[in-house]
Amino acid sequence: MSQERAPSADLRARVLAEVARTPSPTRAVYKRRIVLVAAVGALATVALFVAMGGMSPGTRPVEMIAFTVGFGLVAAAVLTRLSSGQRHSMLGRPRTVLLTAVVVTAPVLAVLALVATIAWPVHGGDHVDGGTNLTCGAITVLQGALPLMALLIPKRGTDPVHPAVTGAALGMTAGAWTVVMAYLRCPHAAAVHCIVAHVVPTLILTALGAVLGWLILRVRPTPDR
Amino acid sequence: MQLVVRPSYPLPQRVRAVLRDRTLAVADERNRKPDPTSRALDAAMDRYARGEDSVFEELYDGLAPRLQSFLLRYTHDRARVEDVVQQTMLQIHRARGRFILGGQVVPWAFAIARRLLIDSHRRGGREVLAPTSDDGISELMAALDAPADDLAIAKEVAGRLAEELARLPDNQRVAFELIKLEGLSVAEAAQVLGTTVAAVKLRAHRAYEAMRSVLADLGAEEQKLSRRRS
Repeated sequence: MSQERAPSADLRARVLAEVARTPSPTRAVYKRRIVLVAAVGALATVALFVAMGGMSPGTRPVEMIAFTVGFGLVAAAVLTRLSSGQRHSMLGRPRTVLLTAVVVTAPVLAVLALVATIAWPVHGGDHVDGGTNLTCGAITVLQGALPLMALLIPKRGTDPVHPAVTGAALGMTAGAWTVVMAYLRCPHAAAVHCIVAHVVPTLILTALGAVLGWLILRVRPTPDR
Repeated sequence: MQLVVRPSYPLPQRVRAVLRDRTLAVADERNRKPDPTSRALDAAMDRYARGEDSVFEELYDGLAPRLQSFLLRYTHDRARVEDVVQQTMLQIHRARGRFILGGQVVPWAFAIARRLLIDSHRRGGREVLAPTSDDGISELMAALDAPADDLAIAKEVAGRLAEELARLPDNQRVAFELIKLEGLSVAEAAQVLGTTVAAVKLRAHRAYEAMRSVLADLGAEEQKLSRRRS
């Protein structure tokens, strides 16, 4: 390497002095913080779920609830694994993998709702009015906001590659978890209601995740001292 | 676009052969794995994440020169480059707790540096971020393993190649630079660019193909000149 391309001794001294002046958390400390944030996030989400009425099976058979909740849980678990990172990489998964996961999940959840309607036609054909759809959809978004923040906060300022895409994936992950809660708390089983009030809000959470991801996750220069 | 004076002398065959071999090497297994230096830095970063503060100097000495060299390809502003190197090392320091067991520090550092340089440019730099090809010729030569006895000719060829490199789409050029000039593995380059290994291979391969076509043009011209002379 030529001399002009080597960093100056002055830069080295500056960086080392700044590092000595500002201690940073080690892996053990960081892990404790992550556990704390995850625990607080999970507790707050459950508390909000209970505060908003908790579980309400309505007239739905247990098998239908188990089917929808079970598949929702699988989708949420897969998305959580995908969006939480990649083995041996500090930079997460490739953009295409995350985008594919985001794009595929909503249709999968919609198909799940339709399959449930076909499998249990008596309950799936119920009429639900627009106001109920809107209220249920708003609750779904609200309940998804907490897990979204719990997923975003530990990763703040850490994505130099594609923060908006990572944020969108985390938004969809929060959305999948909130769909599980929606199938537990919402007594309505109509396909249209499930799609409009349970699945469409995941798209809103994805968009919210993309915006918050860009704002929260991207790497920023530290202010001059 | 800059006018190019094409050389009218026989092309160094070995340079062409090396470039041809490199095209195949993109898919080579050795380009998929990090080199020993990178692995040593990963181990050092792991120790630093566990709380061994004294390792930071080793990390700095291993990463900062590579980052500075990489950044100077895109800007002549040395002060800006030093600022980005400083910011990158401080980001690594502050986020050391996040460093996962068995993680790779080199692509992480390159990705942070690249992002910070782009952001610093957006924030108010007037300079256009473009490869500073005049500085990179000797390194391009080294990357192509150009033989020393053909130095003058090879330098001319490398100049043409550097110009071609500057004309390439950003994603192809950066993939090529990360792999051939910065010595990252294909997998590491894929992480820096946030894409798949297959995509990086394709981009780098296209960059090689573009440069091979430059050499083919030079070869055709050289043949024409030889025929005229005879």
